[in-house]
Amino acid sequence: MDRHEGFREFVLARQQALTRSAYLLTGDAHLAEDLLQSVLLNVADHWPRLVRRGIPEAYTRKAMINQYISWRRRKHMESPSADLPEHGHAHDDAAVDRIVLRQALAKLTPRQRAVIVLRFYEDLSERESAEILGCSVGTVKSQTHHALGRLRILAPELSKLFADAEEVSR
Amino acid sequence: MNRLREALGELAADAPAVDLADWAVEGSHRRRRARLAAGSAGAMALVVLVGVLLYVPGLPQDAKPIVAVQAAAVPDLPGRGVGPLSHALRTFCHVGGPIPPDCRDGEWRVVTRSGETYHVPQAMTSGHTFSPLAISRDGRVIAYYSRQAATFKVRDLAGGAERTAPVTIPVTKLGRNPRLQLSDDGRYLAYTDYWSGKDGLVIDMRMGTTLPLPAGWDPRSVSGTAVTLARSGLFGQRPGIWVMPLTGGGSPVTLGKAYKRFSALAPDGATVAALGQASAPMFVYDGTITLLDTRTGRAKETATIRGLPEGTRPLDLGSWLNAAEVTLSALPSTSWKETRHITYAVNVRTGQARQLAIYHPQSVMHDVIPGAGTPAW
Repeated sequence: MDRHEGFREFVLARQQALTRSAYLLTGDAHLAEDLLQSVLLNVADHWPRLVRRGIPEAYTRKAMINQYISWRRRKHMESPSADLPEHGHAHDDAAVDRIVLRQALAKLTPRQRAVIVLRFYEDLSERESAEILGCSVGTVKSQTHHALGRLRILAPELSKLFADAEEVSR
Repeated sequence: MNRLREALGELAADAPAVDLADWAVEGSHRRRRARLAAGSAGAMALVVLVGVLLYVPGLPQDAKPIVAVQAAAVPDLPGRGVGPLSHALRTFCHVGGPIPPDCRDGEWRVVTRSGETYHVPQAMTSGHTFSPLAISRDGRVIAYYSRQAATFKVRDLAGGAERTAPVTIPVTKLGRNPRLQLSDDGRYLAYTDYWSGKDGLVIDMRMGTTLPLPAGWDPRSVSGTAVTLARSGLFGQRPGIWVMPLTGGGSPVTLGKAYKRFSALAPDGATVAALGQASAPMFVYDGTITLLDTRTGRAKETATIRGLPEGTRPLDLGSWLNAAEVTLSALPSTSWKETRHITYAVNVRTGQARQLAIYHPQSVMHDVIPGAGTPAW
């Protein structure tokens, strides 16, 4: 029997979603692909055991977060451009918001950024986020609070985005 | 929280399209061979290492295995007597979320308009990134790639007649993301691999003749007279439309700007609709639909699409419902958990959209609706 039976289908079904999370974490298309490659290689190595235990997706997601945090500790991963485009040219407001948000995310600590992605992009609960990050629910709450506070300072023009998120994190 | 989620979703949409399954499997095989070659002492050490790697602190150790919901087994597609299809979808058995009853990993299943569901075991599943399948506009004919026959087959679902393409097409020639279009009568099949740039074919399944299609063009529709090809203009390509007669020849027309997606050829035989794309940032849909003259490439009319719920992300245009309305496929949100695929009819002159149907595939982009080609990422 092929020891990777089902692996291709798993990747096929989930690689786009995983790449998007990796991109939000790293802020760079090439690094996002590198991160996912590195994680999927480990997942492929351990595939039969992961399937037996019924946890391929949970393992992949957790491994990606851990790998990202580990990389960020070792090297600088992102160089956000210094200047914002001026309003009223080729970019619409939404595009400018994306650029500002991307730059603000780049200035968060790895764990703060991870918690923002897990809680507000992947829509995971505090408990689920805590399991993936390997910390307590209380730590997730405080990391979320600090991350949102920092985003508010880094990107005050996006405060409308953070207002209802802060309600949820209280 | 919704606004932050939407903003993150918009940002995440800039992520690159990747295809890493085969790469990871090959890499894993290489690492395994290297480990085996390292000798028993090294192998013992690696066993310990694997054990350590597999134990990730905080991983839900007591996570319940993903088990398919027990329900009546889904039968295989019978030889005949199947009603018109509503859609087809692929099932995946090792991902999170609800696993469909009687899951077969990566396999296609079809759903009739009256709700009957059948496995399609004859359609290629694993071993290739995207397994193409197409449904005719009336839902009565399917086309799929048969690994056994090493080519495409077309099947009339009610009568059971099945035709096999006259040429073999090895899997390796299919490319990574083959797109398949079936004519309304099920006689003509067009395929190319738009993204990897391999040549394609139009196949007359009744007469057993073929017409080569150039690389880099995306087949949007095929009929007894012509195949309509489009090129969006991404990645430095010159955007264009090419209504190529099935007798061969014709010439492409160049468009004045890049577009995101194109429709089938309109009933007038002289226009296609296209979703607009902002000049910057790239790939972003600009909210418009444009009617393009296929003979000159000129934009005849442009309308802003109205009536889509906020957060809707248009995916693709498809076949025409009448002289004014074309089908639009869309996702209702940018959430990675999204499993709804919604179709709308869009009036190309007024831009007004009205909802047609909601589909619930297990994984969005892994479903096919009648008259639309295999989805492309």
